[in-house]
Amino acid sequence: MLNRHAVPGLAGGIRPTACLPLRRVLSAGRFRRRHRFRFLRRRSVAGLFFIAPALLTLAATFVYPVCYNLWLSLHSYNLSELYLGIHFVGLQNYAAELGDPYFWSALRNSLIITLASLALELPIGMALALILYRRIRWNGFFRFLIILPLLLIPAVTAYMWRFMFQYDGIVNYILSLIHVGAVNWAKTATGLLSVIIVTVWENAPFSLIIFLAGLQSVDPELWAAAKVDGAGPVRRFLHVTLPLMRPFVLVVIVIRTMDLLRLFDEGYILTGGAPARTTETLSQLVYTSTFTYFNVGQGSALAVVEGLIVIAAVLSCFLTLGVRQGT
Amino acid sequence: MKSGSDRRQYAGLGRRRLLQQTSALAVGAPLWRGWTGSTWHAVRRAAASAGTIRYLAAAEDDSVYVQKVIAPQFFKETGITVQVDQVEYNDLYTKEILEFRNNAYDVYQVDQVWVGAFAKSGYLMRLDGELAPTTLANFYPNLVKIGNVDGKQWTVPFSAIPVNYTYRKDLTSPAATWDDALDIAKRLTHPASGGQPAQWGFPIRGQAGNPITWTWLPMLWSFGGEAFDAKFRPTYNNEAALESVEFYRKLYQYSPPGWLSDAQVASYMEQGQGVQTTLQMVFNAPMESPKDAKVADKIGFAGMPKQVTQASILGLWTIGIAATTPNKANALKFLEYLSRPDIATQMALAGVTGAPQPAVYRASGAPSFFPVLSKVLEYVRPPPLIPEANQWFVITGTALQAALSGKQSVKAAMDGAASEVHKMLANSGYYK
Repeated sequence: MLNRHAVPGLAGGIRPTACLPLRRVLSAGRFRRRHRFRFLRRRSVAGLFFIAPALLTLAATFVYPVCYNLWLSLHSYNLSELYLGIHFVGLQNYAAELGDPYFWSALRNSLIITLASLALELPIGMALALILYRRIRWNGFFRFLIILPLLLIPAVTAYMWRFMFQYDGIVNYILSLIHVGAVNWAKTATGLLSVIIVTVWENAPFSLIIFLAGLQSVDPELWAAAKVDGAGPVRRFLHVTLPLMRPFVLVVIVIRTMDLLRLFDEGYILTGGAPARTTETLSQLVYTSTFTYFNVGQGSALAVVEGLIVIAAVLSCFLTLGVRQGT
Repeated sequence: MKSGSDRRQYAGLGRRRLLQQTSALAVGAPLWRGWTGSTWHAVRRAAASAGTIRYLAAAEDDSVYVQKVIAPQFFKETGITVQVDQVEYNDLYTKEILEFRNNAYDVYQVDQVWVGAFAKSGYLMRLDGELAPTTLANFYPNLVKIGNVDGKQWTVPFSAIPVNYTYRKDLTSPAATWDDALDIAKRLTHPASGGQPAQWGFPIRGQAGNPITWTWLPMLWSFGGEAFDAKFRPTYNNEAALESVEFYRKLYQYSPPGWLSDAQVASYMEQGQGVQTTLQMVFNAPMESPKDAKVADKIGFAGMPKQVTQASILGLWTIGIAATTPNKANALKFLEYLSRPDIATQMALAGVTGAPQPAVYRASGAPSFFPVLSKVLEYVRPPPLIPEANQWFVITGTALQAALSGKQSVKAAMDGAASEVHKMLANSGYYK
């Protein structure tokens, strides 16, 4: 006899399905499947509604500009010469840029600035982190002072240093006091050096912050154990601290590589690419093409190439320096 | 008491309604905000535009004067507010092109070299038939012509800025030729010593692009060279042109190292560290003002040095109206106001503009350098007025920096520039 109270959905009871006719068993299963799928559909539709604003924002601020940029890079389009019209040129813009000596010069400059800045920021950041990790007097004050350059706006920093690097500015005054003599910061080598100096001054605190966090995650007993085993400060740093800090070093290298390859403010304000565009970086080259010549087709192609270079650099960082799982 | 199924049903209905309402809110709120925001923005702009126009100008003394003196006068007379935004010259071209497309400003200060490009691209409003007939008649006809492209008037002259020669009259007499200028520079350049700052024989405006080229063009013409031939083929790698660049390279040795802006050059003269220079006349008034210059009473002005011929370059600021402005009537009123002889005289006598109207030079109380300027205006020339002028300045300026810094020989640098310019003009259809 059918126990209605035992059939799910009717009165809340439980009844073994073997007691039910087959038709009812099958229809109950279909009902559950439909019901389950309806439940899922309702949840997914509701979920889509919730994330729709974020998706739309992402589409508007990332997907659309990227696609439009790619489209522009395949066309000849000059904003200051609209009367010439817009024409599809395929990969001609890319070929033109790869054959442009200014592109290779800009790439070389960006790589020099990236490698030199990293070579200075990492040891400076690490040294400062090791010093500030100790409980020295006025630790908090020194931390604030050292991090201060990171809080300044890059353009303001660059303008400040530009005045300081003038031939009769304070940098040359100090150099003359220590009998080095005035330096012409407007040449290619010294121009790049001035950009590196400013970039390191501004961003070494970033490395400090990351490394300080890393040091605080290291178990002090490891150092104690190494000390007991007779390891001096240098060996403790090389064989205990540095291996454990590897993930943090990778983070700094990856983030700073991306920033340095895309450097614009400091280069544009300090040197403007002078003399004769020999200190121009990749981002400045994109700016010149897009906003000085208003050749947005070529500028877009350059932006795509620059993006690919940055991606390649970051991937190579991960491949060469990536932390192995479990270590 | 509700049964379990009733509770679930009741909860389900409540949860479903909650989900529906929340989802509707999540989607609808931004849409509503966007619609009302844009509607509100349109209403606000309409209300503001009824008595306000926006003017984009170069960050120079003339714009500061317009903002602080002319705009309040204009408001008093017409009730129309003028909001002035200023941008450094080197960034102004970029800003204007972008803002034309954003429809952000009504009136623009347009360099003469940009008029062709802006007019042909449809950014400017045609002024023929919009201005009163007497407006354009106030100006030098050759200056009005600069704002005329393909027979249509697009801008009106605002400030005629020739380059003149400035020198320290306590240290030297004015150079009659460019060779004299080089001799004076050689003789009077001293390094810093005994607490005294360095003295530079000829500070040069050498920033990349337009500035360094601007300084060179009068030398080029004075040496008998030209930038283009009649068919617009670049000729500044011919003998006369190369000679002018060689001379420029020699003179650059007596300028402070670095690529100076015009303001920096003026500062060297005002602080008494420069002996002579060639600079736009807008810097004349501050140089002989005791408020701005340490050596105000020792600064003199003269015509340009001569080599084969005497030459100077004319910078001309013009004023144009955006083609898509919603404030056409107010913008035209402002344009006409700036073009009035009394206003042009007021600005010229304040030393912030170069007088583009002949009547101004006859005004009483004119500054001491006006006679020099009126003479310079007799042989002054505009730069090449082509739509590709901005690109041309960058290419030429790059080559000049390469030559002056020694990165390339003069011949290699100018040959490279000529080739690049030729290619650029060929792409723009000049040689068909």
